[in-house]
Amino acid sequence: MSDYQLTARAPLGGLSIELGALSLTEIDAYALGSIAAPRGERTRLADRLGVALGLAMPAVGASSLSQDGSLRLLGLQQDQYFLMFKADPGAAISFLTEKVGDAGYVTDQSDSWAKLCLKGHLARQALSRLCMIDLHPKQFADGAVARTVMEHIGVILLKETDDSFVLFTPRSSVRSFVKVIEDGMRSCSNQQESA
Amino acid sequence: MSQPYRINGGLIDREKVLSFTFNKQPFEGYQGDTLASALLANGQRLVGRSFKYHRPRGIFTAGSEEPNALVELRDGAYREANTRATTVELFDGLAAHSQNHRGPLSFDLMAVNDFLHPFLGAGFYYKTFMWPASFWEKVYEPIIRRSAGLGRLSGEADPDTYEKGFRHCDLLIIGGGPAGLAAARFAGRSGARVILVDEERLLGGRLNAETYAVDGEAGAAWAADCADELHALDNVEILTRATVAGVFDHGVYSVVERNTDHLPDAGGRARQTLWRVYAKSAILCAGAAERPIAFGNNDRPGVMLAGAVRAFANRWAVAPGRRVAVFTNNDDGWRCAEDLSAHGVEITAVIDSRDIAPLARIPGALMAMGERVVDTRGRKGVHTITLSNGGVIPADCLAVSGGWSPNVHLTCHHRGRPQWREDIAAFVPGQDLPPGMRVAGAAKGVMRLGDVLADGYCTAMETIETLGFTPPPGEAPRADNESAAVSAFWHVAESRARCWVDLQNDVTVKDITLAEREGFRSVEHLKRYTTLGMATDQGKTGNVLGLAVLAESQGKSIAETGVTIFRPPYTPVPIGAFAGKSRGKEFRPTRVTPSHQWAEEQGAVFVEVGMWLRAQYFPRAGETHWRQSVDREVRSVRGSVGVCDVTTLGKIDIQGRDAAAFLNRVYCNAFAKLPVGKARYGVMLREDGVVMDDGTTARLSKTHFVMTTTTANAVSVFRHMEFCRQCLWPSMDVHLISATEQWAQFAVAGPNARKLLQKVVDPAFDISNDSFPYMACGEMTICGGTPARLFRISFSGELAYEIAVPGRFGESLVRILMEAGAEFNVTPYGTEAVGVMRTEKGHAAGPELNGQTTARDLGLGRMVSKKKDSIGSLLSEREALNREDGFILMGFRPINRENKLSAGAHFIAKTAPATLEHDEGWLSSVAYSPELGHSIGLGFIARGAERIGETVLAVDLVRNQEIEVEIVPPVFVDPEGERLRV
Amino acid sequence: MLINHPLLGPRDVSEFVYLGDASLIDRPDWQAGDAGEQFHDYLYLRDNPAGAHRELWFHEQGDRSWLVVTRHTVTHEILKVELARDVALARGRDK
Repeated sequence: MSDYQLTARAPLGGLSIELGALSLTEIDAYALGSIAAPRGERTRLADRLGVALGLAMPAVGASSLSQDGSLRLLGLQQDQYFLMFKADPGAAISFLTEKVGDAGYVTDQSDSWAKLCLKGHLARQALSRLCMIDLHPKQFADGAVARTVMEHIGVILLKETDDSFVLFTPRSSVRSFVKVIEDGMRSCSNQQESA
Repeated sequence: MSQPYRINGGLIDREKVLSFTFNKQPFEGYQGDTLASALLANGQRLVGRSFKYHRPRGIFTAGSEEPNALVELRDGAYREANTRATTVELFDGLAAHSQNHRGPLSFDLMAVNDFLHPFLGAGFYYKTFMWPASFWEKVYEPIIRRSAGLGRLSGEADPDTYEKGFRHCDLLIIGGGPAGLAAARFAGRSGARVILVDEERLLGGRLNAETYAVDGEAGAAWAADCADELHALDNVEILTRATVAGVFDHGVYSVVERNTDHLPDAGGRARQTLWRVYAKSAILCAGAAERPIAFGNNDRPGVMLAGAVRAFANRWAVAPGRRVAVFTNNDDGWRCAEDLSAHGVEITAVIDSRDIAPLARIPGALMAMGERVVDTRGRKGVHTITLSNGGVIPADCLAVSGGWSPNVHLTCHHRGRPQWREDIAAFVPGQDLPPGMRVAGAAKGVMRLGDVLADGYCTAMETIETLGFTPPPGEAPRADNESAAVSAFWHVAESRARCWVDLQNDVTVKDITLAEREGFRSVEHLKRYTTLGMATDQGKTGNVLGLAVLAESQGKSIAETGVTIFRPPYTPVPIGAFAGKSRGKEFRPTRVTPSHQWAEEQGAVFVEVGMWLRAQYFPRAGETHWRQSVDREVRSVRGSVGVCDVTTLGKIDIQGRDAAAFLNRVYCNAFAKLPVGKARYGVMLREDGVVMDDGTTARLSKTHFVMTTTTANAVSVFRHMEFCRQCLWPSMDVHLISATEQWAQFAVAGPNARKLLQKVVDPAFDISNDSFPYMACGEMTICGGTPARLFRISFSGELAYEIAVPGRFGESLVRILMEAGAEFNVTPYGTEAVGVMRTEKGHAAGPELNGQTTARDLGLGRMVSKKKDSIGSLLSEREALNREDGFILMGFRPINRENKLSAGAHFIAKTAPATLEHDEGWLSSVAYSPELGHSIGLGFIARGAERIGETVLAVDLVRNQEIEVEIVPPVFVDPEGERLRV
Repeated sequence: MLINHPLLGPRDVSEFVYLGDASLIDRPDWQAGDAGEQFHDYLYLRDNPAGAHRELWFHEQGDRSWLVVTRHTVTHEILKVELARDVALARGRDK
C-alpha cells in the first residue's frame, strides 16, 4: 500500500442543473476511448469489434449501440471511433486493450472530455442557440453524432433521442461551456414562459 | 391627454391605455400603437431636428424606411439613439427623447445652420476643412461632431444581453405581407420546412394598412387567418419582430429578432437574437416602399408619404391632420384621399401631376389636375401649400406619393444589379439573384393586390416543386386588382425653395445638380460626395428620387445612370447583437489546468496564455514584489525541488506502424531510431526552413509515441501533422489524437526531485538514475495503482521529471506532491520562474520561436539532418538562411551588473549611432538570474558565435535606455548539463 | 459559407480552417536533381485565377479531415468537395 491515495474529481464535480423543463447533468460514469483502424485493416477491426463487443462499425456521423445498451461506438472520423462504455474510467485503457487487441490503436479519452447530458422536450431548441448543425429529426436521427463547435468551444454531440443529447466537451473549458449552454437553456424556458 | 387626432376603427386595443413620455411630457396611447402613431394621435408633429441644418422634422413614413423621426429611447445605460419612432412599439412607461438639438426641440440654437445653408451645400466639409492638417482632429472634427449628428450614446456599457442562434429550413420567406402569406400558406401545406420572417409584430404587411378584401374578407382578417393556420403547422416557424439583415453565401441569411424591445423590461431575456438561417431556398416578399416627390420645403412636419398617412388612419386610427391635401403622380395616391375621406377627415385638395380626369369624387376637395405643389408654409409644421397655379391651399398634412419602389435590397447582397422598369418607374430585381432566391409580389414589381397574391402562390409552388415536395391542392387567394398606373414625376422644377431628396442626410435637389456640375457623375461618386443614401435609413425613400435628378441633369435615362448597390444590413443592427455573448470575460472561453483550484487556494497570480489561465507565481506572506516570489521559486527549484503544472503543453498521441517514419519526416532531426522508453527533443520546421515548434517526443512502444508541443502551438502543430498525414503521405499507417486534456502533467524539478517522486511512484517501478536515466520515459503506476506516465526531461536544467496522471487525478496529485515533498520544502512555481530558468539555460521559447528564426539561428543548425527528407530541411539550406553574418542566438550580460536589461532592445556597436542601418540584432528574452545575481538576456546578433567577449550597446528607444552588454554563450547555468544527469 | 463535406454534408465555414492552394499536395521529391528549384516553386508560386480554384480546407472543428474544395473565386460557388487524402492518393502520393 502506498502512503498516498489519489482521489478522482469529475470535471464539474457532478453538476446537475434544472431550468424549466430542461436538465443538464454531468455523466461521469462513462469511460471513453478512441479506436483507430490501421491503414487498410478496417475490416479486421470491424470483425474484432463485432466479436469482442457485439458492435457494428458506424459510418462517420452515426453510432452503433450494443444490444444491452452498455456500449456505444461513435463514428467521428474516417478510421477513428470513440467507444463510450459504462465503466470506471480507471479501467478504460485495460478494457480497450483487451477487447481491441492488435486490431486497432487505442487511447484513453475518458479524462479528455467532460460529459454532459441535456434532457427535456426543449433540448433541441436550447441547442439551436449554440449549435450550427441541423438537429431536426429528418436530418439528425437518433444515434447521430457530430463533432462541431459551439461558442468557440469544441463539442462532440450525440443524439440519444429527440429529448436527450449527450455532449462531450474539453475538460479544461467546460465551465465556460456550461455557462453558454445554461444561457441557451434559460433563453428557451424564458421564451416558453412568456409565450 | 385626450389624443385629439384619434379616429374610429384600427387594429388597436382601446381597453389598454399606455402612458409614455416624449421629452419628459406625458402622453397616452393604446396597445397596438407605435410611438409614431401615438405621437400623431396626440398632435405631436414636430419630433426631431435634421442632421445638418437642424430643420424641424416630423414623421414621414409608417415603417422601417423612416428617415426623419429618429428618437432616443429609454434612459441611462439603456438609452438607445436613432431608433425609428415608426417601428417602436408603444409600451407602458416608454420614455422617448428627440435628438440633435441644443435647447428645446421647438427652439434649436443650432438651427442657425439653416440660415447658413448657402454655404453648407454638397461637399462643404470637404472644401472647407482642408487645412491646416493639424486642425483635422483637434479643431474641425469636434466642431463638426457637435453641430452635425444624430442621437447621443449613453456612454455606458450596454446592460442588455444578446444571443445568437441557428435555424435551418427548406424555404425562407422574407416578409409576411400578402405575397409572403400566400407563399407561406401553400409551402407550409406541402410539408416543407418553412421559416417566415417579418419585421413587424403583426403579419399582413400592407393588408393591415389598406382597406382591400382578400377571398371575400377584410385583408387584415385574412392575414390573421393565415397566421393562425401557419402557427398550427409543425413544419412552419414564424419569426415576427425580426428582420433579414443580410444574404450571405450558400443560402445563409442573418436574421435579427427583437425579443424584448417592445417590453418595458427584458426580464432576463436576451434583448435580441441574431439568427443565422441556413435556407435551401428563399422567396423575397419584401414589398415596396413609397417615395416622395421633391418640391419646395417638402421636409416640413406634416408632409408625409401618402401610404403612411392612410396606414395611420386605417391601422392605427389616427388622422395625421385635420385638413389633408394629397399630392400624387399615380393612382395609388388617390386611395389616400378616399380612405381618409371615408374616415371623415377633410380633404382640402388632390393635386395630381398628371393632367387626367379625377379618379375619384372626394367631397369638398379641390381637384388640381396637371398641377404641382411648389412650396409649403408653416412654422413648426405645414400650414398651407402653394400650387403651381398660384393657389394657396390650407393643409396641416400633405400626403405625397411619387410612386412605389420595390424593396430590392436583399437581391443586391451578392452584387446583383437592379434593373429599371419604365412602365412602373421603378427598379426591380435583376437576373443575378443570390443563388436559391426567388422574388415575389411588390418586391418584384408586381404592384396590384390580386397579382401579388397570385405571384406569391405561384412562386411558392414553383419553389416547393424544385425542392422535391408535392404542391398541395387549393387555389391562389383572390383579390381585386386595384389601379396602379404611374407617370414618372420626380421633382418640381419651378420650386425656388430647397427641395429635399434625402431627408436624413439633408441632401437637396440642388446638392445633386451641383455635384453633377462639379464632375461627380457616377452614381457611386454622387453618393459619396453628397452623402445621398448614406444615412442610417440607407436612402430607402430618397435614393431613386436622387438618381432620377442626377439622370435628368445629365440628360440620361435612369436605366443608363444606374443605381448604387445595397449591402447588409437591411436596417440598422445594434453592435451588441453581432457581439452576442462574446463580450467581457466571455469574449472567448477560458481553459483552466487541473491544479487551478489548488493554485487559487495558494494565492497564485494567474496569467493568460492563449485561452489558458496559468499560475504565474505564488506570492507568500511578506513578499511585496513579484520578483521576490519568483526569485524564491527559482532558488527553491535549484536548491531542492519545485512543482509546476505543465498540462497546457500540447500532447499528441501518435500511433501506427509508420509512426516512427512519420516523425522522422515532421521533425528535422532523426527520430526513426529512438528507442522504446526514451524521449528526445525535436525541432519541427515549416517547409520554408523556419522553426515552427519544438518539444520532446517519447516512444512508449514500437508503434506508439507521445509528442509534446508548446502551449501556444498545440492546435497548429496538430493541424500541420494532419496535413502531412492526409495530404503528403496518405498511405502511411499513422494515427493522431490529442491527449492534451487526458493527462494532468506536472514538472517536478530540482536536486530532490527523484526523492520526492520515489515517495509516490509504486515500488515496483525503479526510477533510480541507472534504471531511469536522463531522457528515459515509461508507463507506470503511482499511489497504489493509478496509471501514470513519467518522463525524465528538464526545461529548468535541473534533475527533473514530468509526471502525468489521468486528468481526474490532477488536482489530487499536486496536493500529494506538496504533502510528500514537505520534508524537502517543495515549492510550487509558476510560468515566471519557468521563464527565468529556461533563460538561464539558454532554451528558446516563444520570443525566440517568432516565426522568423531558423534552427541555425537558434544554434541548433546541426540538428537538421541532411540524410533524410523532412519538412523544411531542403529549403533551410538556402544561401540567405545560412549567411555567415546571419543572426545567432547568444547570451548577454550587462557590463555594469546593476543594470537591468530590457527585452526588445536592439544591438548597436558602441561607436555607431542608434539608427536602423547600424542595427545588429535584438534582445529577445531577459530575466534576473538569482543564481548569478544580475540581469541576463538571450538575443540574436550577427556573427554572434565569433564575438564572445565583445561589448555592444543594447539600445531601447522605447524605454530610453542604453546599456553596455557583453556577448556570452547562451547557457548561463550549468553549461555542461551535469545537473540533468545526476 | 457552407462547405458540403463529402462524408458529413453541408457544414458551416466556421468549423473549417483555410490553408491555401491545393497544389501544396504535390510536394516535390527531395532527391530530384533540381529539388531546390522545385521546392521554391512549390512553396512560393501560386496561380491566382478569377474562376475555379482548388484549395485546401481543414475541418478542424469536425472530423479533422483535409478537404480539397473547388471554389469559384468570383461567385464563391463551391463546385466540388473531395477528401484531400483521396486526391493525394489519386495523384500518386504514397509513402
